[in-house]
Formats: sequence, structure tokens, C-alpha cells
Amino acid sequence: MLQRHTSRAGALSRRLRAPLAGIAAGSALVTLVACGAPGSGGSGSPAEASPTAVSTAVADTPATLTLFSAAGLQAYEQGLADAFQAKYPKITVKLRVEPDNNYNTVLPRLLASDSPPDLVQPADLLGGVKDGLLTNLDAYDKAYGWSSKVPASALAPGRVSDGVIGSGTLYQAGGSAGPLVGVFYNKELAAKIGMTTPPASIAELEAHMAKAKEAGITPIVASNQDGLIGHLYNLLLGDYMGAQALSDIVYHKPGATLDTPAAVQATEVLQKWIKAGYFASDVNALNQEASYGQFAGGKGLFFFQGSWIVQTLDKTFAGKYGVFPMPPADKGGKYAGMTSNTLAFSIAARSENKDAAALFLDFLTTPAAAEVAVKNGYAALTPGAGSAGEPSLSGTLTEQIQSGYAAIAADNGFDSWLQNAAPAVNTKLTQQLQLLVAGKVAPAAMVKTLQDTYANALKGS
Amino acid sequence: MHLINPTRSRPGDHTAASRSRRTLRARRWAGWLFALPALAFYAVFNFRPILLSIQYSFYDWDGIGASTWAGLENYRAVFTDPEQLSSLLHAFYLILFFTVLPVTLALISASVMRQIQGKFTGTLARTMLFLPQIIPGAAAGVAWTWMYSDNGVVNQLLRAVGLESAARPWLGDFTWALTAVGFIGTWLSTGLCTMLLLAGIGKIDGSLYEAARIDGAGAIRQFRSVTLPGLRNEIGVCVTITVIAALASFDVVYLATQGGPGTQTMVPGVMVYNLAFNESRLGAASALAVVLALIVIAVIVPLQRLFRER
Repeated sequence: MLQRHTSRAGALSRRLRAPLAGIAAGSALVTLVACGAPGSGGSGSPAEASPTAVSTAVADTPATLTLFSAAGLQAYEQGLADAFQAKYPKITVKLRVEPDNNYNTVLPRLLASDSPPDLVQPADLLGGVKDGLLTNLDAYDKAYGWSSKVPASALAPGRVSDGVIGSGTLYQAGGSAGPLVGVFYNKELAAKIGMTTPPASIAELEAHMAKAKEAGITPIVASNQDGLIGHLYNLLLGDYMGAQALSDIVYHKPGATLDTPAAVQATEVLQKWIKAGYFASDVNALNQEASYGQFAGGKGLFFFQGSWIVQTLDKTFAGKYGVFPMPPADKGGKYAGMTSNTLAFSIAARSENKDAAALFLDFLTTPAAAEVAVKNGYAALTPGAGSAGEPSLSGTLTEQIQSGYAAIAADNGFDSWLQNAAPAVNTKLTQQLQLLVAGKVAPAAMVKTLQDTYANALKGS
Repeated sequence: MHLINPTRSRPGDHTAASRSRRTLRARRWAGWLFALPALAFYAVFNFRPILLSIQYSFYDWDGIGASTWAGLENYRAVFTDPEQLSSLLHAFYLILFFTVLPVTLALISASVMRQIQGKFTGTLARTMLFLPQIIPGAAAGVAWTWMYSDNGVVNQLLRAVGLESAARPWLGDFTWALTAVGFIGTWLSTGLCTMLLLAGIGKIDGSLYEAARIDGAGAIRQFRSVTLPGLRNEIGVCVTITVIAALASFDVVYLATQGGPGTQTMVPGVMVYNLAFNESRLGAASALAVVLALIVIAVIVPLQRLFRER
């Protein structure tokens, strides 16, 4: 298929072909890449991100809201949607469901797209605010009066000012309810080793695990292919560093650092438990689903997880497990544990139904919404609920979740997940936890690596 | 096009000449016209992303907000960040399992199957060998995580034959995870290679084997002197496809281990995904992707030369 043109036309075109091709390719290059620096167009104009003229009288205007839901929370969020629609029949709430581990991966691009969901729960709130993807809710706050009817501590994690979480402009709002992240236990196995009260300190918790190990029971069920030993690690960090110091890191408070003796101490405790064989030997190869199966299958005593697992754990296992809050480092010390406000959502900056979406947020502040949360394993400090009582091994699971949550709240002990500090920290933490399990990293080195990753991520943002 | 040239042989007949030139020109462009739809798709969905990746690789960009010029910083990171560097090395290690082993196994099984061709057993063997090929890599990744798990088939077999001590959670094991992932690749590509080589063997003139036999060549000598040279092209295709699969692997690794434990099975494909979508560092991801593409080209071009028929 080699062309053997001898004609003048052929020769001419051959002479011309190279330059023509060059021009074509060049112009293609120009048209394709001439958009300048990537992202310079911006996605949300300031007007979109910060509405000033807002309306609260939208209950009778037909609208459809899209709520971006993670698969593990689908039942709960559908419950919220149903309850909302029962109250406001003109407004439909549709769920758009994404697998849990993909939720935050696709969220930024979805928010920047032409058809963003209206209601979202971003893990990387700071990133979303920086890129103008989330709506400034201050005007709605004023119109609905959220700040005066919702506890300040429930709204603080949704406030951002100057790249720091905790105060300032409201970007995530709603009611007040959250998961209890604590120690789930198998009742039958707990009875076997004679555990009758929730351990009051890390030492007591450890004693139970030693006893279980002796009795041939795996003390801790966990999955670490996905780095979910991180729940336990995070609880230990909160215990030893104090909830505030840990939250400061996650919220990007200036000067906050992980590289502290307390963090190293927390890491050493985890390392000690690994070395003592308190985890199944294949924990690095297990993922979350497998760990759910193992815990519900009675394959271990403790499961450090959040109360969202209530929605997913095998229903036949109901009644056979309970939960207590992570004991303080020392007896009589303060409770600490992660939570997130599951009743608070953000509105996409590019949402076309901001007013209706804000009505949904307002609905989240009502007892009806709190009820849905409680039904799905979350704790809510509902007015008139009274004292939840001390954590104990008796009572229903719902009571245990409420009392555990209340105990942490009473100590002002709520903090957040270290991996929420920055996406890069999330990836690095999983790797470091796998190395720790394999005995390939020392606690001090691990803490330093995580701090370096965090510092680098901050520099970039 | 040169078929219409006869009209040209009459110099002086200007009208005819110019008409033919016009026709020529029209026909030349007509060809491009037919190719246009395909070219447009190629430009928009292949060429443009490639150019954009190259452009992004010079920026610090989170994929949405404003970007800043980073110069060659992202490329420097590819070669200085131990994590990115090791991911590239892992990709080369995988060639052993995606290419060397499958091609060797395929050569053996294709030669053996040549003998049993046509019979029911031959069809059965071919079907079984090709079966992994119709399973998507992603599904294979999931299936193999079960087989490799603590109580999975692999460990059950090891225990059954008394190799209790060798049993381990393979994909969670720092020493063995990458090799375990590699074997998934072997399983996936052996079938494809066998099929290709079997087709190639069918094309080899039977009289060559006969002649070799008459000259007293045994099975091994026949394999070396007839089969192997006759399959030069097919082996080239196998090697090319599987080397690319090894260097640019993503689905199997992502589903089996996501690069873990630690970074033991991190390959460039997964690393690019992590950087771009989990860490929102599109510039760094693009730089690694561009380097990976260049490496693939650098490896494939000499291989193509090597296997080109002389």
C-alpha cells in the first residue's frame, strides 16, 4: 500500500502533505489544549456558592431532590427521604447510591459536573469549600434559625473559615445525631470469659483480650486490607492524645501535629496487641465485608467499629452482640471517640434546588428525623429523651448506643478520623497500618510518616 | 489510485490532465472523508486525553479548582518518590508472570494439543484453557481473593497435601502478595497465548514435521527446529499483548489488593488511580501515566523488532 505517485499532482501533494499534516496536528493541538491552565475556568461562581436571597416558603412547590448516598447508609437515608416526603408530599427525594469506598472518590467530580446531586456528605469538607463546590448556608441558617435550635457542637464540624474547620461559614447543617464508634462485643463469648461490666480502662480491656486469647477465642475481629484497623487506632489516638488534639489535626488547626509522645504511645499499644496475637493472622488480607461475616459468625470477641454496622450485620445475629464506648486510657479518665453528624448534609453549589434542599436540612433538625437516625443505629441527643444512663452490658443495643454516645458527649470527647485530615493521609494510613500489622514499621516511625504526609498535604492545599 | 494514471500519458491534453488531477485530488480527500468519523472519535477520545494528560503533568491540580504550574516537579517525583519508583519495578516483576510463564506454558500446551487436535479431548482442553480469557480481569480479581484467603482453595490444597506450613493469607502476606497477584495474571493470559499459538501451529506446513521426522528429529528437536521458528510471529503477538498487560495492569491488582499490604503490590496503574482520584493530585498522576506510557513504548518497540519476520 505504498503510494507510488509519479504524477505532478502526487508529487505536489506529497510535498504538501508533511506541512499540511503539521498544520492539522498543530491546529488540533491548539484547539484541544488551548484552554490554558487546567481548572482555570472554575466550576462554581461565587454567586452560586453563596446565595443571599433565599426562600423558606418552598414546601408547596413541586421539586425533586437528589441525595447522594453511600450504599452502607442506603436504608437510613431512604428512611430520611421517606419521612421528609411524608411531611412535604410535594417534594420528592431520590437517592443516588454509590458503593461506600467509592463515595468520596467520585464526589468532587460529581459536584463539579452539570448534574450534581443536591444533598451530599463530603468527607473532605475543606476541599469542597476550597473548590467552591458547596453552598454557603449562612443565609439559610439565618432564615431557619438553625444556630439557635441545634447544639453548637453539632454544627461546628460543618463550619469553615480560612481552611480550618470548626468556626465561621456554615457549609454542612442539619440536626444532631451520630454513630457511636466503640467496642462491639459478642455476648456469648463475653460471658465465656466472664466479662460482666464494660472495661473502665485500656488495661482492663487488654485483660479481657488476654483471657480470650487464652481461651482460644480471637480477641479482635478486624479488616485491614482496607485499613479498617484504623477505627481502633483512631480510638486509641483519641484516648492518649485527647479528643481535642486529634480533632485539631483533622480540622487543620494551625500548629496541630500528630508527632507527639501521646500518639506514639497509642501506636505502641496497638503494636503490642498485634504482637500478642489479638488479631486473626490474615487480618491484612480481609476486607470489611469479610470482617462483618466473621463477627456475625461468632469468630471473635471484640469488633472496633461504628454503630452504622447495625444496618448491615446479619439480622440473625441481632440480640447476640452489644456495644460499649472505648474505655479511657486510665481508669476515671475521659471518654473519647470519633463521630460524625449523620443528620447534617451539604448542598451542592451547582444544585438547582437549593431552597428545597435547605428545607430538607431544616427537616433534619426535627425529632422525626432524629427518630429515623436512632432506628438505624445512630445516637441522637433528642430533647426530652432524658439521661441515657451509664454504659453497661445490659439493656438493648439501642440503649447501649445511646448511653455510650452520651458518655462521650458528657466528657466532650467527640473527635474525628485522622484519615479525614487529608485524602493523602487516608491512603498513607492504610499502608502504614498494614506495615504495623506485619511488624515492618516502628510506632515512632509510623507517626512521623503520617505527620509528614499530613504536613505535605497542608502545604498543597 | 495509480490505476487511473493512463490519462496522464498524453502530454499537452491539458483539459484531460487537469480533470484527472482534480479527480485525483477529490479521490484523495474522499478517502479521508471516509476515515473522518473514526478519526474524529480517535481525536476526541484518544488523542485529546493523551495531550491533556501531558499538559496536566506539568501542573499541580486537584482536578477541579485552580491549578499552578509545576514544571518538571511531577516528573522528578516519579523518579525520586520511592513509592512511585517501586511501583514501576513491580510492573516489571509482573512481566515474569504475565508474559514469561504464560508464553512458556502456552508453547508447551499448544505443542501437546497439536497431537490431540480434532479429538473431543482436544476441544475440551482448548475450551478449558481459553475459559479464563472470557472472564473479565475484575471478576477474576474478586474470585482469586476468595481462593487466596486463609480458608480458600489454595490453602485447602496445600493443607491437603501436608504443606500446612506453606499455607498463608496470600494476598495479605508481605513476601508473597505480588507473586500471588502475578499468578492471577498467568492464569488469565495462558489461555489467550495457547489459542494464538495453536492457531499458528495449524499454519505450519505439516510436511516440515514429516521431513524433520524422516531426518530423525525427535519431538524436542521438532519443537526447536520447526514449531518455534514457525511461531515467531504469534509469539511476538503474545509477548506484546501480555507485556502491555503486565506494565499497565490495573483491574486485577486493584480488586485483589489495591496495592497492599503496605505498598507491596502497588503497580503504576493503581498508583495513577490513587493519585488522581483518591488524593486528587491530577498532575502527579498524569506524570506517572506519561512515564508509564513511555516505558511501555520503550519496551514494546524493541520487542517488535525482535519478533519481526526476517
